[in-house]
Amino acid sequence: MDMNVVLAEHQYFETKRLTLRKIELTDSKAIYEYARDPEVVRYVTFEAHDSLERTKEGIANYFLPNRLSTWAIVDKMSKKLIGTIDLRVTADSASFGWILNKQYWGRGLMPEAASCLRDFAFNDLKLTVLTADHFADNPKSGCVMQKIGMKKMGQLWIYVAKLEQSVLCDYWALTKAEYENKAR
Amino acid sequence: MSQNKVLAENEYLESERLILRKFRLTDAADLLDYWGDERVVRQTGTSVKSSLESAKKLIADWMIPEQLIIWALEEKEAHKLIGHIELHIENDQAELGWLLNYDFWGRGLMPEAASCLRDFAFKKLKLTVLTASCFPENGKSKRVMEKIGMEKLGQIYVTIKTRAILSDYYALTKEDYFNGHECCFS
Repeated sequence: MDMNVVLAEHQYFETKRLTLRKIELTDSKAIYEYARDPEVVRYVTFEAHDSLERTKEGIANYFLPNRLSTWAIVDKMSKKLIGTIDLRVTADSASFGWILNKQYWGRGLMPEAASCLRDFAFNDLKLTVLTADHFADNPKSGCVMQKIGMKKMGQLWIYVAKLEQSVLCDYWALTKAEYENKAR
Repeated sequence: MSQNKVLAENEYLESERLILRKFRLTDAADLLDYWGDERVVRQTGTSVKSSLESAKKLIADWMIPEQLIIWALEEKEAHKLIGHIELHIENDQAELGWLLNYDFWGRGLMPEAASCLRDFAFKKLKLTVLTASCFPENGKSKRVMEKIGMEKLGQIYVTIKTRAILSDYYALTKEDYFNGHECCFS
């Protein structure tokens, strides 16, 4: 099985309230809407975007080169792009990264998107472990991990370039065996 | 501050019973002594080296090019190279790793080497965090981490070759370190 072929075969997903699709340069306005928001970017690795141009650079330099493993999160009703989610694959494991427009917080949308990719990761990509981490001083982030069945394994230090220092992060994981036990 | 310059200025370190120095090709036989020993490499991410030729190749391919961050451990009394220790630096943090000749286990030699590099990392390199990880069943390595003041923060998955392996993760911060430690770079 070639991992990239499987990823290429799954560029589009649908959940109850969301569609996941590929990110295009034309999404820059919708992404800029939340990427400029200090509250939204406070706990992610990039700095708030100060212009639409900066968002376009972000799409060109990150999302397009990593197209196979990144998805736009689109609200079905309004067809609006409300966030992004990615699955950074290393050998037989992957780590999650995501961001969501503040207007859509608190409705369980991120667990909906993440559990869709979790199922894909174990069932189609045949990965062994899924991991995710968030700044330890933002325990709220852990709710999504918890809701999709991940277990908090402890903490680790991750270097964050925009802060120019290592930051203590909570570390979560879910193994294939744990996932299959729960599904049963 | 250039980290590489500081590393280059500290290619030779000394503790009570050990000399920490750079590898030479002539260390191949001593390296094979421990890297060829299943008991030593069993609980690490590496595999046994079975010939003098492969030991030489390892020194040429890895120890010499990476010499800024790898120190050979020479036991002063026996004048023998008995292991090595590595300091993998990433921005303001570094991860320690090591291997030690089985005949020299149980004498506190690795805590001695590791605390020397710990002091170097905080005092000279001015790092923020020092970390280490090992397989959960590797009790000996965990003891070294605890002895040099590290604390277990949990378990993480580390990718070794093609597989994610569950590992115990230890760390020591600059703050905790400077709250009462004496050391060799005062």
